[in-house]
Amino acid sequence: MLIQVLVNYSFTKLPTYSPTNIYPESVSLVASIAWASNIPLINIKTNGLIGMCRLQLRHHDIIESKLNVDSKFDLRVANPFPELEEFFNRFHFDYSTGTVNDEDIAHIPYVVILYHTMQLWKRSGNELPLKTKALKDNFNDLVASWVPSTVNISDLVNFEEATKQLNVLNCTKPCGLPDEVTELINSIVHTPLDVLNYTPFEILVRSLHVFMTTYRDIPLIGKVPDMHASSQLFISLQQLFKNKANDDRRKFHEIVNQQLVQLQCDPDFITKDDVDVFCSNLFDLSRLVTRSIDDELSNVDSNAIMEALYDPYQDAAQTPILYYICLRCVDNFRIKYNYYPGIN
Amino acid sequence: MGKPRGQAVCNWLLEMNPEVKGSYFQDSVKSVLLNDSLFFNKFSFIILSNVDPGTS
Repeated sequence: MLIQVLVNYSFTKLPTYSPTNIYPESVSLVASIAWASNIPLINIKTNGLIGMCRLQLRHHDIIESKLNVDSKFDLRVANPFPELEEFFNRFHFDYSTGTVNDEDIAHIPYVVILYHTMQLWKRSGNELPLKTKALKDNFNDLVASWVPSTVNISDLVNFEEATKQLNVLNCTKPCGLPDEVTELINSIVHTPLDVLNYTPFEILVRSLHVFMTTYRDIPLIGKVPDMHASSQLFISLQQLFKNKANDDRRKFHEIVNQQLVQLQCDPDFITKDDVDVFCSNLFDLSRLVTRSIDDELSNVDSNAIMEALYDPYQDAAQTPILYYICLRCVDNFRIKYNYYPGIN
Repeated sequence: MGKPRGQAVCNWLLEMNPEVKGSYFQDSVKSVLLNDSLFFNKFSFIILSNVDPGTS
């Protein structure tokens, strides 16, 4: 890591120059250079024990974010791919009698139970997603109804898991992407690519869009959560997901390479590892944007300021917006009168 | 103290982590840019600390 420290050469230390002959240092000057090149910039102002720290960044693209510990899984129960559907149909769920004729009922993975219950639910004329608590309760009754009376349902951990994972069924259409990710994809796809200055993230997102248009779903993420099942069944399920995910990633990588060829770009611009990380984190893709300092200084967002003023801290004098306004006033004073307020 | 602030700060920063290499300049932003208009573009991160607001 290389650092460089540039110390301001303050013109107040040059008695032979009058202030008007020397351009004052300028936050705006450096900030606008940083903004143009999308170099992250932090502007710090302090005044005794009070300070302000402002990040300026056009955009910061995030693929892997460790924040989301509760990440959704891409399980495709409501719209299974062929190999998954075939797996589900290996189990003996009898729709006419409403019972499951499986010797090892306790070790059926909950995703299988949910799939078959969903089929029965739909055959009775009901719909997904399950919007109300009443509907969820009805669905859970149906889950329980598979268990023969000879078996004690409270012993069946997998059935209990099924009742707790109903949200899995809410991905009824292809592409169970969170709205924020869909919006991000649309905003990137609808902005013309800067052919002199594009990032791998932009290419990956565009490729994702092509994949979704071509194959009508996202590349399978491939991760299967822990669940109560026999080792053999769980491993089969994991393998199935892994195979499909690998296949989808291969297709996705082909699309990425086509994009790179079109841009006459080095194929190593995006490596297989980049593709893997991207495809593992599709639900968590995001982009952090900030306003430019130039915009902040030229255009007042009165609404935001008023909102902040009308939402004071319990100790009103501690409300941050007040200090922000003070620090801005100090700067404006400096610009107007060429000295800082309070200095003789 | 007696030393330029940049020199002192730079020495302390380098002491903290031997893997870090660095240097300091004592100059004004304007003059640095007159010498090399792309001076700031080579950095991956910029921190401004109590820099004059200047005119926009």
